[in-house]
Amino acid sequence: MAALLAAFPALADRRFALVIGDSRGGPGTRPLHYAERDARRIHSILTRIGGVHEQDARLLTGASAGEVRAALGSLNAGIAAAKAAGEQTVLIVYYSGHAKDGELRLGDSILPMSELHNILADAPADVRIGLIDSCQSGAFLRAKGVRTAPAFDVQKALAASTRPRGLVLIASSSADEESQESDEIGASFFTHYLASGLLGDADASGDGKVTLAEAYAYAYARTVGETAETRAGAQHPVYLYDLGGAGDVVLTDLSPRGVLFFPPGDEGVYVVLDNSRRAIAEVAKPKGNERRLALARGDYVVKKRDGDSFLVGSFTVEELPVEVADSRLSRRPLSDDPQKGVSGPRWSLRSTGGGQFFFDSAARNGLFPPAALAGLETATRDDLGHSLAWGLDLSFGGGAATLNLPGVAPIDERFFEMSGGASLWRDFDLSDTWTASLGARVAFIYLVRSFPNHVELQNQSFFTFTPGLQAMLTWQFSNRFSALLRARLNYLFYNVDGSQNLGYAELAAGVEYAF
Amino acid sequence: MRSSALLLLLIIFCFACGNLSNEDVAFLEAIPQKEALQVQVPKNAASQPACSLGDATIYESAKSTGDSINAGVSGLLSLVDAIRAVPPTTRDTDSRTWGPFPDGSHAGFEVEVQMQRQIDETGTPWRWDYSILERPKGGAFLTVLEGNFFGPQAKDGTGRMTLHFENSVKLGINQPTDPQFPMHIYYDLGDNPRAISVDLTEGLGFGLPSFDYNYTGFADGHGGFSYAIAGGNGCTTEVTTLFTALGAGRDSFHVRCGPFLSAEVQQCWDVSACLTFVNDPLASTLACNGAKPCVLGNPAQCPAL
Repeated sequence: MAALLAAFPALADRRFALVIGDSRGGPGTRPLHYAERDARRIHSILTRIGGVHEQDARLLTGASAGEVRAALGSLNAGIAAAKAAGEQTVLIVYYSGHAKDGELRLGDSILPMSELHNILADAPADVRIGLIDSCQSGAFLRAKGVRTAPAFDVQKALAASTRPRGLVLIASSSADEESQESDEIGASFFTHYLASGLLGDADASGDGKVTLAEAYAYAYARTVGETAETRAGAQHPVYLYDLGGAGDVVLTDLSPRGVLFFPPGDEGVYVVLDNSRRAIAEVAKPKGNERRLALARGDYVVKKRDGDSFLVGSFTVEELPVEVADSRLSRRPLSDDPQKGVSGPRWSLRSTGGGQFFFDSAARNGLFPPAALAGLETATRDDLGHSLAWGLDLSFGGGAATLNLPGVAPIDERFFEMSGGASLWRDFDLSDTWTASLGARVAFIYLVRSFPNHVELQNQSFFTFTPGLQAMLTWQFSNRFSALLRARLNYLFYNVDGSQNLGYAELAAGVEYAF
Repeated sequence: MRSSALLLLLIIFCFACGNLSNEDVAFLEAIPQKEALQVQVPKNAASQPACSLGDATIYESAKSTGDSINAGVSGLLSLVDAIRAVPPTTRDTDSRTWGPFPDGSHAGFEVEVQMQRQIDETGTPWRWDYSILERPKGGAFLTVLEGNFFGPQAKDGTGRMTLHFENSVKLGINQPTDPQFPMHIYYDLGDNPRAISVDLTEGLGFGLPSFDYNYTGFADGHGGFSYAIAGGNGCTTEVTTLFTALGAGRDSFHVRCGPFLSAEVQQCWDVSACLTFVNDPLASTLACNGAKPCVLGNPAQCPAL
């Protein structure tokens, strides 16, 4: 029994966890894509292999600051009760979301980082761990001893009875840095590598346990390394370590679980995808070392970039370890990346109004006069790949015009137009709120004109397809709403009064609502 | 894969259809409307008081004569209107062809309309030639109407039209009272008054005697009409009438019996078609009751026309 206790010294504690994810940051911020998913990943890891019982864990997504305070109060009550019963206690608070000016932005509500810091500092748990993944989250650690470093110095345990006590705060970026998300991995960089580390890749000692120090060191190294080449630049996690007593805190225990086993003979970066082809962990392994990832039962795909191709294999995790050796992976071209589009599509709806103008003056005479158009559109981003988007649109419009024929009195006409199409474009982020887009569109156009003062003339109509190019500028002015300006250049083949190649422009302004 | 992409491109770039055409409008505007070629004689007040000098019976025949002419040419002119409902079958720079399409008025027959134009140096059309052909389905075409029009649009140009009743008879699509010979219509719609001449001098038609019928109509509704009425004795009364928009008027007429011409009679009437003046030197009209010379009423009551 003593040997068993020595093997799981930290997980014998009673653990409590509050996991918060919020994609909304209130006015002036863009919605995060993966904050809530990140929170669910961490919650799953903590409750599955982190020693936190379901009843002692709280997962809050889209919650207000008041609800966070209430959840913390509830957990503290539980902690106090556990302590009264003589149990050692650990409190873990994880947050993924927006932060700005020293405040966590929970939708339209605000939770000052200093308040959260104080709550954690005053919490009754023996060990309090704060993990903040947000922009400028280093402000959370405003206190002496904050450090940016690959690893913190952990006192070695002198005796089994000297358990650690105190506070550890870890932030995903320094006080003046942005914390970045990645569409490619479908998560924030920091949480993705923190999760990968907790699942096993951070187990540098190979003892089947991932400690707080190992997890931080791993997440630090991978986050800095992977963000070094991004447009926002390298992101440096920081920490405040104020643990008394001795020893480290074991965050996850890999040993009793079904695992993917990466044998020592292979090397490289392996990405593990779940059933929906989302990255759930990475393994960065040098030759000679082995790695274990503790995963829930289920089917997984493992891919490894190897030169101009991928090595890909499918595995089912159950009770026994499953070996992932390169020899069990099959080679595929880069175009068959199983992770393509994993960040998931983002849907939005647009309402637009604008006009249409044919360049040829003869065509504008009655055939295709300038028209006013109003339309509805859908846009789906990141569905076909990073920054690639597609959309469907339908517009209605028309107007009045005069047809002038040689020697004939001007003929008044009214016309109606319907146009619809499918677009494919690429988004280019100019800033946090401005986005430029360039793409192509194939559409149909249907026009009908009537001659209200000439009963002798029947209605006329025309239908054709019109390929074209489009450019758009979008300004996001609230969480879900953006304003847009768009120009289209279209080609139209007209073949009734002889064959003509015509060009026309469409200018539109509109509002976009993101779901 | 490559052929599929090519097919898609072909569909995208070539799939254009419809009848949106300014030139079609120009062609259609050059074809006269049936209504524009109708004789429009005002109708008198419905209820007439007792007339002291008698009824203007000669004028009353002007309306019925005009209606007979309108009804007679209506059948073939309806073929012109039919092409407005269908798009041209072929389009060339200066010509259009409609049909063959089914003749809605004659089951089993098909119509084809051909139209050409000539354009002056300014690009303005100045002459249009058109013909309407009809055939029993699968048979040979016969021309039932042909015409020329001068000017850019029919509503203010001049033209002529020949209705080939001799061919409609051959086709068996004629009406019992239709003439058996080509009938000519001349019109000038560009001036005020518009003038329409229906030439029936080659024989009888529409139940009317052989005559060169001429109508002029002003925009305000007044006008004139020269026409003929068949008498029971083989003689013909030839009338020249002028009328106001409300139906009052004056006329002069004489009776032609072969080479013999009667003395001219002058009459005036009011809007109720009651005679207000009669000058009948030989007292040949009922109002004179045989008393020669016959002058009734006051010529000052004749409308100024």
